[in-house]
Amino acid sequence: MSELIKVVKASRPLKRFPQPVSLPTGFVNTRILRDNFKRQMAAEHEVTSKALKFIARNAALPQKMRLEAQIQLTAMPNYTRMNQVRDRCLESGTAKKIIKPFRVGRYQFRLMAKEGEFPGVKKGVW
Amino acid sequence: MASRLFNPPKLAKLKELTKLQCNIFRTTYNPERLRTEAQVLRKPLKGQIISNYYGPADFPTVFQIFKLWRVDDFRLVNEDEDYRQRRVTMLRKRGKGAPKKLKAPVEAPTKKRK
Repeated sequence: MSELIKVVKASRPLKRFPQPVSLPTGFVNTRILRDNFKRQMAAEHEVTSKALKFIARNAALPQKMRLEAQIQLTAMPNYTRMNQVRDRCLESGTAKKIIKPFRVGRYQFRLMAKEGEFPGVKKGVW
Repeated sequence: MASRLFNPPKLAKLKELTKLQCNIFRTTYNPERLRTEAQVLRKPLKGQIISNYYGPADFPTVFQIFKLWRVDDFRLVNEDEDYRQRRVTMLRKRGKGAPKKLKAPVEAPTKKRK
């Protein structure tokens, strides 16, 4: 993955985002790109933010250290937070009515299920 | 009078016992019951799952797969690519294709001032 990031970095200066990231393989959309960036950043900063959170909330540690950790945590940019990511449809990019196990929106799910893309899924008839 | 069956253990001794217990079971000794928020660290990391939502970044593209499988007596048909190539050739035949790339860079038109 790091090699791919290098390639992306070399190919064009991604001024779009503060840090270069690898591109998603499937359907690409502005909003998907944005979300993909946030996901990768969140994954990258997960350990540090968790450690900071632990220090900030640990009552056994000195107050000054806790405060410093809290300040550092709030100073981190928004895109490093886990709650910024939102599940999007892999086929169309919508953020609403996502069927989570299949990672597609409801309409795309219907189309794909009719095509027979999901084994075991069939139309309910009774 | 109820007879005392056993002596209640002293507080210091109980503390020592809990300390030993923590040592054995590898838990943190926290007699004041302070909030250590250890559950933050105890939760499994989910960054790998979250970042791979749109598929792994190093997943081969259709073109790469076709390149891998290219043998003389075995040809995979990429329908989309075939359609595109047929369309391009038809357009070229009719003289409607995309213009060829210029080799020498064209000089930018200078702005004229009145």
